[in-house]
Amino acid sequence: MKIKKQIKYIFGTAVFLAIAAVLLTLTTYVMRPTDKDFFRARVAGFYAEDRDSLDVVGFGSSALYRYLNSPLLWKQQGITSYGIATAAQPVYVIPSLIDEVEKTQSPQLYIIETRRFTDTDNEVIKENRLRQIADNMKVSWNRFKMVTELTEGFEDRLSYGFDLIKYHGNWENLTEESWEYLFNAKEHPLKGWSVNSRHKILSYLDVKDITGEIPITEKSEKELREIIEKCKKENIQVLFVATPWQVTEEEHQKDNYIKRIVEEAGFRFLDGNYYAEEMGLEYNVDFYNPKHTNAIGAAKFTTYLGNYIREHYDIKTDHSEEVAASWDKAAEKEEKEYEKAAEKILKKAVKAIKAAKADQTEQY
Amino acid sequence: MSYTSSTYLLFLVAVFCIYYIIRPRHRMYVLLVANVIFYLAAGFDQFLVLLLATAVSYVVACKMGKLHEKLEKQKQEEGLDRKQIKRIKANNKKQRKRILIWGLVLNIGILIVFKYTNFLLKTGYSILDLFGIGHGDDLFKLIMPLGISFFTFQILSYLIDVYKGKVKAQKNFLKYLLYISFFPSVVQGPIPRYADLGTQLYEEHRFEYDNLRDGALLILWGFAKKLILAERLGTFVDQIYGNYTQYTGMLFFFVATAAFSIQIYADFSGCMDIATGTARLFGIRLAPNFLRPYFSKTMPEFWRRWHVTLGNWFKDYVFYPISISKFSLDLNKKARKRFGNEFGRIVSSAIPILAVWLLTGIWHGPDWKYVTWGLFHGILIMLSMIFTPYNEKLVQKLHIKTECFSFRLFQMGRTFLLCCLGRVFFRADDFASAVGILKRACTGIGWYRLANGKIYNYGLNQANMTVVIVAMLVLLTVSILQEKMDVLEALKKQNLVFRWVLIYALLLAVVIFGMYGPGYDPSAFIYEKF
Repeated sequence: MKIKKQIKYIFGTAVFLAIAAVLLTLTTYVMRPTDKDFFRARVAGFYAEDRDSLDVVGFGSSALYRYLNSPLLWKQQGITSYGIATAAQPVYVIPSLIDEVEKTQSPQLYIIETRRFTDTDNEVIKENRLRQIADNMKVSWNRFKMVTELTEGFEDRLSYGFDLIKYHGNWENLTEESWEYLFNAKEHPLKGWSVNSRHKILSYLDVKDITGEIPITEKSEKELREIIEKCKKENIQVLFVATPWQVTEEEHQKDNYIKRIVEEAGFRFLDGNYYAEEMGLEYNVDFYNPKHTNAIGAAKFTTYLGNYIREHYDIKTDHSEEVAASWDKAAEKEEKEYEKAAEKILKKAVKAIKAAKADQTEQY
Repeated sequence: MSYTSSTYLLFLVAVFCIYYIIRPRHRMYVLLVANVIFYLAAGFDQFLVLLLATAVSYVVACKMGKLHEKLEKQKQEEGLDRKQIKRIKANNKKQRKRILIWGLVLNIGILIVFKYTNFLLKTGYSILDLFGIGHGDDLFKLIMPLGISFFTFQILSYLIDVYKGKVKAQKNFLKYLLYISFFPSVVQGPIPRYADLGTQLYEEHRFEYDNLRDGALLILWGFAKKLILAERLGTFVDQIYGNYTQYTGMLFFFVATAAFSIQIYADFSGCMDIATGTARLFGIRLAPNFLRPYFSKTMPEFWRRWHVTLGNWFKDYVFYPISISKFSLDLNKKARKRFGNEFGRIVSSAIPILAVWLLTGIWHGPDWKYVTWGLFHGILIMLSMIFTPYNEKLVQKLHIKTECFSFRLFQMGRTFLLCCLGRVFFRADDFASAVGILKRACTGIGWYRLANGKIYNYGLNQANMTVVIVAMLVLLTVSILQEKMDVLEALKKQNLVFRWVLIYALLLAVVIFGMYGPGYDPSAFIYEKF
């Protein structure tokens, strides 16, 4: 009788704690702040995708989410893709993100955008950059392990593992939208792509003759090699991508360095700067700042990427009607958003180019 | 290690698990190690002071214990007549008294050195200033050992109880250290008695599910009071008391002081719930320290409900000994002869009452504002004694019904107002600030500072003020229930779903509305600094 009672108490306590854990998890999701750059929407959007529906998953910084127009890739190639990208995403999160993705998806190809590997400020993990990805992931042992490893020496370390400690004060700012994130999964209308309708004239550097290499930092290289090792061990197909921007000679030489490491390991490296012309990129139209394409530039990049993937990888694209419907809906939305953005960009581009020409004529 | 920190919670979980994994007869040593770790977290130097006080009192108590044993042996000797036994007893008592005095002086000395040295120096400098005598301004840089006022009183009560023979001296130093340094109560009380806590600590406690459930719930309730209510009110009160020179108005300062009264209650009683809940996890019951004091109808009743263990300490070790001393009894006789029975009794009570309240004020802190506060309450209690018969006559003459809710409400309101008046001194930064606040409170009403949404200008916006009001209503409801029943026991009798919904609601309330984490700077418990 005593043992029966003990078992009852143990079972009761376990159930109580389990329900408490669930309630606290859901509360965590609701309290997380919505940011103006939509990182929350992007990461939560990944979790809303149907199980095993994604053919391609990407990781990286704004050098991915400004470039990869996933609905367009679907429209052109029938490939479903999602970029789990946040601003200046620390490269150290990539192994954990792969594990996170593998819980619900079985992508045939991963894309790892490499710009952060060349940044020297990659050495120190900044709180906001880590939180932008970590504090939008689902609560899990994988996430807990990741933040524990990456926050050694941080103040308020516990608030990384249990971000409710940091965000519980958001109860004052809750809106209807906050409750849509109750399960940290909300469909992203553009499947992770961030459309931009701004414009800036950039200068183009033809990098085709720049063959030299400059090493990246020791820490970045170590991380890159560990990611490569993990991908090999787990038999993961990965494409490393350097997206095109107003690259300098020095930066391109770092890309060359990465390219060599990647290709030596048997993976492919798509150098967007090298193939900028092939992509049809116009540096006086397709960018909104030296580091990012606008909607038009993104479309060109995505078209090239789609063809590249088809050419070099055997991606099977059978999807259920449900999945196809979801992607068709995103593609419809993308068309509308692209048209709006492209119109604005071209207006601004014409104006800017005219003004630049006028300046030149005046100087001349 | 703050009681509301995550470090404390992790520490508690670890101690709890180890405690019940270890064999029952070794469990007290798990608590001892936990006590040492807890206190060491405050600083090694502070721990040394605790150890010194414990060692001194241990030696003193053992010596008195030996004298008790010697007396018992001597009493058993054959052939002794009553006169001889009386002489032996008197002699023994004299020796014990001498040792007790040494013990009291040394331990009070430790308290004075660490807590009052600079206060005494500052007071001395002020007196020299009055006479125009030049002096330096040097003060000592001294540590303030955690809970020194609390563990010193605990030690003093133990020594006196051993002296009187109420308890036997603990010969095992480790067991005695366990008693003095018991981590749930060492920082802010409740101030335990050896007869009660000592025996519990050394028993072999088996795991009881009820203790786990009750303990966890008490801790959660304590967190709610501290983090949801006390911290929030603290923001409001700090804004006003910290900038009092910008404000005027009786209503305005009353609202701020009333807020402080609730803040300090939620803070202190919240800590007591955490302490009591923690001890309960290990099967140990601490004495209650708060009995819904704001439901008191008179000031004497208030002090029987507020900080109960401190009140009992002063009653047992200061009030009664002074009251039954030869001096007091003689004074009582003379006063009754001179002023009549009633007034004579009051006159002779003045000395022990004022002594208690003077010491209570001093105990609270090395500042004249606390002394003023203490004497204020002593005088209030004296006045209560003086005017009670007149009040009764007046009530009779005016045919005022006293056995009804409205009259009780009036009495509670009156007691609360008087309490608030004293709290001005308690909360103000110092005596001069307290006087300044009272002066500014006499300038107008100040209602305009609170009306038309202006009440949200003092650190708490509308949303947070709403949380405060809801929290106060919940606290009031629970307090009313506690007056009528044992709420924990009543909760156990409810259906499982109801209990769990209530507990989850409380847990989520603490997690969501609690003021903790990065971005907040939770204040230490108010009574921790004593």
